[in-house]
Amino acid sequence: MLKIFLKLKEQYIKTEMEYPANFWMMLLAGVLTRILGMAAPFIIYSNLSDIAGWKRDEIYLILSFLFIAEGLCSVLFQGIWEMPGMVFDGKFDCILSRPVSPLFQVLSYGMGLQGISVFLTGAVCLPVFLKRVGALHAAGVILSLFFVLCGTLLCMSVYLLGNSVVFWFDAGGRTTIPYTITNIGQYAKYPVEIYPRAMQIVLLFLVPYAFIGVIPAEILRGTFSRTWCLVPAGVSVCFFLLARAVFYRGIRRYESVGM
Amino acid sequence: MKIFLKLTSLSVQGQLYYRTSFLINLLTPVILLCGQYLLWDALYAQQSYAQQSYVQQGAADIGGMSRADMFAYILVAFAVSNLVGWSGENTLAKEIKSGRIVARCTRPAAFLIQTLSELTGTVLIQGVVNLAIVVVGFGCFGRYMKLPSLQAAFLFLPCMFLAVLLRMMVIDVFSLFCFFTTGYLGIAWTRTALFEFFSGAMIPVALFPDYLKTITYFTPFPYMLQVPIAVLLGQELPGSPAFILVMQFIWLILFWMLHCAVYGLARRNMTIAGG
Repeated sequence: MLKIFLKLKEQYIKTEMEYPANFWMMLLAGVLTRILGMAAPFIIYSNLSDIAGWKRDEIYLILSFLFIAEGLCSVLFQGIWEMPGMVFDGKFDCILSRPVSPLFQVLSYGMGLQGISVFLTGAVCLPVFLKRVGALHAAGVILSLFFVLCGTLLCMSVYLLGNSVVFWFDAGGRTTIPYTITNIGQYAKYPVEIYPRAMQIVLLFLVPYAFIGVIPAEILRGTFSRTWCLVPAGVSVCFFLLARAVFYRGIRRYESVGM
Repeated sequence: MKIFLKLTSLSVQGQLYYRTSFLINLLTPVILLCGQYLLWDALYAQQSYAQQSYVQQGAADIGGMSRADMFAYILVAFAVSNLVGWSGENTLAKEIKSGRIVARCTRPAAFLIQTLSELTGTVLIQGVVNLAIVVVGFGCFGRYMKLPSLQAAFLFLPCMFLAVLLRMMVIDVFSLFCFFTTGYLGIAWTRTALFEFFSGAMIPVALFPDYLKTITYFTPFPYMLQVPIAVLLGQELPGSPAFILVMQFIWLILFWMLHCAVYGLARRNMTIAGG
């Protein structure tokens, strides 16, 4: 299965590179959106000395984890974002008629080129800010890789959950719900303790982006003990199982040749 | 004008076709508005504590903006930045990619008029909803916000009209670049990122460091959001109201010239076969 998955991705990247202007534009867009995203904390910190005891470099560490997870999701699982269009156009029929798991087919469909540059931005920033927060040692690097894996799985699960609403709402293939869910997650680029309790619950349990960046950063800066590492892993697995269940439940509502 | 109104009405009908989704899509940005309030409320609480003025929380300021200034800014900025959604912004780009653009090229109406009328349809619906949100917001939470004066509101209207028109022109020109890239996502994300940052939709330009503020006012983006809001709320402006209107006109003319150049080039080299 992994071989087929990688082969499909290889074919997609070849196809995309047939259009060089678009290819480079997508890479530029990925870098630009993230650099401007990093400028927001820069401006906030030029007016504030710290946020709840968090320094600027620690916020950038959170952002690095988020960039890597989002970048990998775009490169590997872009098909999730194509799902509303597939359902609306009736192309989902093809997915259901092939003798391969529908989830596997959706995940392996397409490729988000901007994800390459988003991932690279995160990959460049991560060691820099690990060093600045004093966590660039063997244990810190191994933990970071583990958090990247958990974060990517969690990010993919949130995307899948959000986009599965297409089976319940006929949106002409253009619902904003998944984008809203993802945007809510962006508030987790700041420490969750600054928010009121309700928002903390949202960012920890409903759109648990806090487990992609904030909690790993808490562990790496030593606020939480390393036994907390099991929590992001547990949350990621639970959310994946939930997203998978919702996706298959949604398929049962799918009406052929579009909605 | 008759063609413009007809195309605008068709655009409105298209927006209203999927009713459940239409309502959900209209209201989901409100969730993000709440998130903005929670974030800035938390930052002001931090600042109050840092400035040892937590007895009088409203006294804290960030970058010269008081909590009341910021709360009013967030509400109006939300209404202005969400006037055109992702789908509305990318309709033209998607048509170019799929080749359906041929229909626009053959209609007996100017290409730019068609784009503007379609975007007007989107702006009208979302504008009514956003206006209602702003009125309810000021009505219910006005005591926590700086309220605009009537005189400022009169100045705001022409400035806002030109700001919306300028935004439509920017969307049009960026979308036309799809003729040359064969894809639209990269262009759309670049435009959105530039707009959200430099327009002040993400963070008010007043908070930018001075050098970044100077650079920002050399771009068209603050004239689409930050400047009209600053006029309405009586905040810092890059010049007099007359200077602002002139700048908006200059940017409009520049983008109109860009439209003519890019569309002319695309039209000469156009091959309709899908993207």
